[in-house]
Amino acid sequence: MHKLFSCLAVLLIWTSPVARAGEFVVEITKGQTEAIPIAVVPFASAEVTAASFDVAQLVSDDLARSGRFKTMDRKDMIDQPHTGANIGFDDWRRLNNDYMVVGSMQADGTDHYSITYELYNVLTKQRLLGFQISANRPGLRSAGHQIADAVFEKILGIRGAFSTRIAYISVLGHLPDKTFQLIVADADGENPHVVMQSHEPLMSPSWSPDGSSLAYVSFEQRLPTVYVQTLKTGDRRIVSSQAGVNQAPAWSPDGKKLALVLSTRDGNLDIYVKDLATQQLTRITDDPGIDTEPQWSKDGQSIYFTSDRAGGPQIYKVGIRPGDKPRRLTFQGSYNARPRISPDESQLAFVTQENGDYRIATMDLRGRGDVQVLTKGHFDVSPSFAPNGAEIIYASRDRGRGVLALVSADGRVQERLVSSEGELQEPAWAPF
Amino acid sequence: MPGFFREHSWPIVFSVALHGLLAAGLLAATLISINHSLPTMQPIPVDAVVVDSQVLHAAQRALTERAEQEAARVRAAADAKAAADAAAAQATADAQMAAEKQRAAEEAKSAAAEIERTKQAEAAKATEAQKVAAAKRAEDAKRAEDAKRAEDAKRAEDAQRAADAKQADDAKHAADLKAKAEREAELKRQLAEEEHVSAVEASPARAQYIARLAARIQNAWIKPPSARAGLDCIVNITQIPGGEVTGAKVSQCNGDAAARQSIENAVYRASPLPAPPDPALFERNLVIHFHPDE
Amino acid sequence: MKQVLSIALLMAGAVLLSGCPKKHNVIEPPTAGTQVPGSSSTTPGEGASTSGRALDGDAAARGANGLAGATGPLAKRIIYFDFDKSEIKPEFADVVAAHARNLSSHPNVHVKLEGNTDERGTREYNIGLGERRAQAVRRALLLQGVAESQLTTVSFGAERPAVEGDDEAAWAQNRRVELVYGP
Repeated sequence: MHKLFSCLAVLLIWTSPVARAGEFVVEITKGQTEAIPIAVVPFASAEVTAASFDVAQLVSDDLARSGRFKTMDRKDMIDQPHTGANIGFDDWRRLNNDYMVVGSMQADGTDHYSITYELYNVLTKQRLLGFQISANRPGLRSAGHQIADAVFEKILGIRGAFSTRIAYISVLGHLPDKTFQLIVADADGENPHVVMQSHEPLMSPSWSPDGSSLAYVSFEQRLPTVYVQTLKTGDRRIVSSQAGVNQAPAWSPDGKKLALVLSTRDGNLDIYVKDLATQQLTRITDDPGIDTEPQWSKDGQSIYFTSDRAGGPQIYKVGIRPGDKPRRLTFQGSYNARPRISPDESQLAFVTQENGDYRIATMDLRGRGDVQVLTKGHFDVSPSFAPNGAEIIYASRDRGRGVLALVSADGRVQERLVSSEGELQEPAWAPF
Repeated sequence: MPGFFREHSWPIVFSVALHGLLAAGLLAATLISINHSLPTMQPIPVDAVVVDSQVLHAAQRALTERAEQEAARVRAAADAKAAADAAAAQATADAQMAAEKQRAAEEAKSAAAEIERTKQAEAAKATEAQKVAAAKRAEDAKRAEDAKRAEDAKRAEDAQRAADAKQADDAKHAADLKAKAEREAELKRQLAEEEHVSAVEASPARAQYIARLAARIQNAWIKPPSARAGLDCIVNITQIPGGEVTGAKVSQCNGDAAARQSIENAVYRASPLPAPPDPALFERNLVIHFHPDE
Repeated sequence: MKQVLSIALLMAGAVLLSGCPKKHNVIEPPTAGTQVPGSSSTTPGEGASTSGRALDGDAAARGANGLAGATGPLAKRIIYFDFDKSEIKPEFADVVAAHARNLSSHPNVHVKLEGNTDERGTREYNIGLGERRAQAVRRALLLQGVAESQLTTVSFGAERPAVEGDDEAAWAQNRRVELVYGP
């Protein structure tokens, strides 16, 4: 065996280009994780009227908001080419751009636009993308998001999430007359649509895996009740309305089951799984503590949840087969709750309390379980991963008001996303 | 009617010829302009000038005849002048040659002196270089000694640890490993002999140059999410003196398209590469081996 | 014929569906008598959780559930809690006792125990905390002779603050269980 090894070693040394005699070999073991500089040049739009839409600005804003790109300010652009033939690459390189997007938009016919765009690597002068998209006026935002997705994926190798949606709760008004709204909007916070409204609290929106429905909790019957609503039709049905608590719905990956929190007569909260077709209820945890906030694993065989069985809330994982014992995952600090896994289950996001502040943290599920606190606020709660795993949306408080904010999954970039007159809370990012 | 023709034969012929040429010329012009109406780099005015001179040439033949006569007269005068100039030029040339000969002699003298001076300067430089080299050698020796001491200590520590771990192994295991190490050491020695190792190349200056290059490229490499530990890629680059990267080619690479693009971009972003501490170290062809720790 | 049948089925389905939510065995909401007028499961506008609410309402209703002319501990309908705690503090012991006596002497009277928390922490865990506080009051009342059928618990977690604010003064007012008398 060792003879074989040494023979292979000989072969490797002789054939490896790295070790060729006389050549200079430079070993690179580190890189940077900074934002990639890109310039999105305003698209030519000679025939387009003022009523139409600045697609290039939307593309630029999307890329900047992802935290992965540093977009060039328009006022710094001394030239505005619209096709690759007109790009003076050396000039753009001198302005420190690695990539650039150029394009044009024209109106052909009433309410019909044709957008042409190209993505260039400024360093190698290569054209990486060239496409044409057609859209009507209401579809121009969507076209812009598609362009941002294509550019994002081409450069970073992961799918863009700019064309996805978010759901969240908005609370308007003051005591004793509040209005609660369940809202679905674009991932950038635009185009909000109220899908459910009530004068009693709404909580815990949860997207079905196919993105067609939302499960949520409504107090409209003066008790927490779990509903499932189909977005396209507005039809909804009650999934659970037992006496006591019906809470925290979470869809299984195959969309056939909902994990729920139900209470026993003496108020003990535990996790159950309800089969949506058969209505059969299976008890998952049985413990005097509060067991809540369930979240399915990617293979649908386990559930992450919050439990204070050890004194304060911590995060556990339990298999759904009868007899499986929960395994504790968090050990740092006295308050760790609200687990959410990234789409590839490489990371767990949760709420952790440090020195009285509630912050979003992530745990590395694939490596050594390293915990990283991502945010710096006082009340950062309700994390939800983007479907490409690159970002986390969460609820925060800014100057006394509830707002929605974004942080990149590695914690490098943070920004506020949506704020409105209402108090915004409990965001949930839809799947692709 | 025929009389008219006979009387004005020359003018008529001349006129017909002129009109014919005009027509021909116009036709030619049209054809040329058609051929040049498709997108080209040539500006149109260049063709127009040619056409004009063609048309004018025929009308000017009479004028040129007169001009030729004049030219002949001028030429005769010029010949005479040229002869006189030649004689004068010859005289100046002779004088110049004499002066140059003298200058050459003087230059030779000063060159000799210069050579002498250079020799002396070089001798001084050599002694200086020797001194520097000696100092460097002493420093290197010290550094090598320190490094060796540290290395020995580490090796001893490592060996101790390895020995402790190996106590559980078979004696055969240890013997096989020893044989394998010996064979590898033999190979390494053979490779080293085949390398063109000059005194300069084996020095710390080379290591310093490589370190500078690595730092520059590391700073310039923006890693996409897929460029994690496990990525193993090679980019062969060519640079010109001054450090500008003129070519980059990703050869072996186990990364996805985003990772490949990022490493190719990295070497261009790092351009111009830093200069070596010693110009003799400059290498046109570099092999950049990307293998991130995380 | 087929068309008529399918239309009839559709209409029947619509009727059934519209009746669905009411099929479940939920506790009837309190009548307008003890709440701010106009509140029921179908009309909007209520939700008041101010500490003054308990003193509003019909005198008649009060008479029926033993609260007529209530002064002293019985007039207090809210029990406050310390942060992250669900134990009933000693200063509220006689409030609980007073209500226990009232309820056990009026066995037809029903009370809803609404548990609340301050806004800190995660919302769903707070539902659990609110429920735990409501249960603490429930157990205390049961121990003092109140029948199980007279008590219901509900948790609103952090969703129904009595006082809005980001400081301890507000939070202290929100960590509470309210005793809401019903029929």
